[in-house]
Amino acid sequence: MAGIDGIDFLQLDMPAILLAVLAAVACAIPGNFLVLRRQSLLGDAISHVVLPGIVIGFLLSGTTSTWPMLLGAGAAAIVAVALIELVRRLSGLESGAVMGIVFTSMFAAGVLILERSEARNVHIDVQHALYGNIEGTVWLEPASIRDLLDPAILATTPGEIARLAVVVLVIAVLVVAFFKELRITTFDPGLAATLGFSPGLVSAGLVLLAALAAVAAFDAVGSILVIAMFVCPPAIARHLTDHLAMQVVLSVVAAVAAALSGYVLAAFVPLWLGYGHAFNVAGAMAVTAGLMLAVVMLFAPRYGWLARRLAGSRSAGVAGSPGTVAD
Amino acid sequence: MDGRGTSGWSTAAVHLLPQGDTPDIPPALEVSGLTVVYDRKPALWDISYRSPTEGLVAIVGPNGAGKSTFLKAVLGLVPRVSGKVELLGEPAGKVRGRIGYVPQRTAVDWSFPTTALDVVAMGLYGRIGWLRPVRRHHLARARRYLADVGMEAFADRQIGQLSGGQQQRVFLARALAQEASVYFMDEPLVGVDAATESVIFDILRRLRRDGRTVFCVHHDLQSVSRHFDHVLILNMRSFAAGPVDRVFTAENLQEAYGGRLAPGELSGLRLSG
Repeated sequence: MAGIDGIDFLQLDMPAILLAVLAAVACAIPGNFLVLRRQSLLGDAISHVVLPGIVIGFLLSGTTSTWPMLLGAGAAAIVAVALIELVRRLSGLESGAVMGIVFTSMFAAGVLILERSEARNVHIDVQHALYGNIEGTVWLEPASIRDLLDPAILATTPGEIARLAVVVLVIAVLVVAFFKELRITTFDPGLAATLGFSPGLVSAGLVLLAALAAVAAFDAVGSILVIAMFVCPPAIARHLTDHLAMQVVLSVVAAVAAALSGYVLAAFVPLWLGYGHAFNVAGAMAVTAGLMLAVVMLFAPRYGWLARRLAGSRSAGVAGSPGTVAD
Repeated sequence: MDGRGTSGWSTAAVHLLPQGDTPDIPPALEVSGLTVVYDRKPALWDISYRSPTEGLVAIVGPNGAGKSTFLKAVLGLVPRVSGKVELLGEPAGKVRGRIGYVPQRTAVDWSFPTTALDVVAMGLYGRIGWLRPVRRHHLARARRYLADVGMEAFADRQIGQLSGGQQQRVFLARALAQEASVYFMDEPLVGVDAATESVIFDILRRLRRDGRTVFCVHHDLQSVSRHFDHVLILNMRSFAAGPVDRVFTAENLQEAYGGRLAPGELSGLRLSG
């Protein structure tokens, strides 16, 4: 991995950073609503459950092209939903336990198929599936910053970056368009239903968006760390605002910040410290996102631990944490 | 959600007589043979009810009597095993824009990142419609409804930082924003302070004056005869329904509460009959 000098940065670091940022943003936007609906684990479940689908899609088509893998992922998600419902009815276990059983089993099956198949050592090996492969992205065409404005060179954008960019765009447009519907069905599904905004329909749409984000980000950050991108940026943003729209915007900012600082931590810091090789970028992103969350939990202006301590000593119970209900 | 079953097998059980109805105005709510089952246990059993065309209706009954379930079943929020529901003489789906709903305060997450004004504006979403954004003039309108319940000073407060009574007033303002003809309110007076209680009763009287119908799940038997025109006494089955001065009797209440009301609890009531 290169240091920060011109051409290397453009061809090696910039594509990796773009990929990291896009993957983080794709997950963070739907993550806001998953967290507010107390369904954060759903993002994790989806990202695990799709692994066998992606692998089987790859095996059947023999290529790592997007569509067979996306189709496989979608099919796996549908199988998972049906399995969860079936096991829940037959076993009578609570749905959290059933989700845990179904998604770890399917994930493990995916790992086994992957290990036993020709998929080994090709594009998706086990390690990449787990930890992602941000650093594997290179873009050799641009030779200078100015080339980034050249349409001919832009057309050579690596497929995984272009794909994620489209996914981010789709997610952003849909969330803006259906913002009012997402807000009311998340906050008060009962009222939403009486007003004619089907909570079931909106919920299904949201799960679909989350699945799209998980599958698209899977390549980049791997399936274990997708959950960090679904949960951390929204949780960070929730500590900084009381407005839903602002929370979504801040979660995007937090996602970008986590991706950038994660990349710096993984790619440059080890070299500055004299280590021979870089860290895993996805892992570093998850760690920095966790650290950022810890910082806002302690020091956020209103909901941070410190602010609440100070407010509490002045007049008890003025500010509550975003997790508590004043009564 | 819309498990509209047949009511054929239960028509024999329509035992409540229509009350004070004008032939050409349909009742706000008409239910026949309504049965709802939760986890294989019946929550509501074969309820038939015909409401007045306007006024304030209290829905009373012991804990676990299915009062909230009754509202939810009427609104199509829980599946019905059987029974037919008509609102304003039409199937519920046809008159959506004329129906208002105030869920129990505990039904929502008050730590949600939203302000009092945003919540009131939700009452306008039905009129705004799918995919259209909330605009400035919607918020201005929401602000006026917030003023109606004396909460304009709290418009920009995050809702978790309001007291229980203030939260309930925000819910009421949201209901007003719906500009509905028929309202269903689930325990709007539970756990509220005296100031909020009087605001809520003022609003209820205003809705009555404007010819609206309000169904209120109500826990406080003492205040029924003072504030409500009609009553529906439920305990899984419907025990009595009609004008308060006719059916809010010690016998009907004792029957619905399974004789569990102490004489002291009844003696404090201004009962009819």
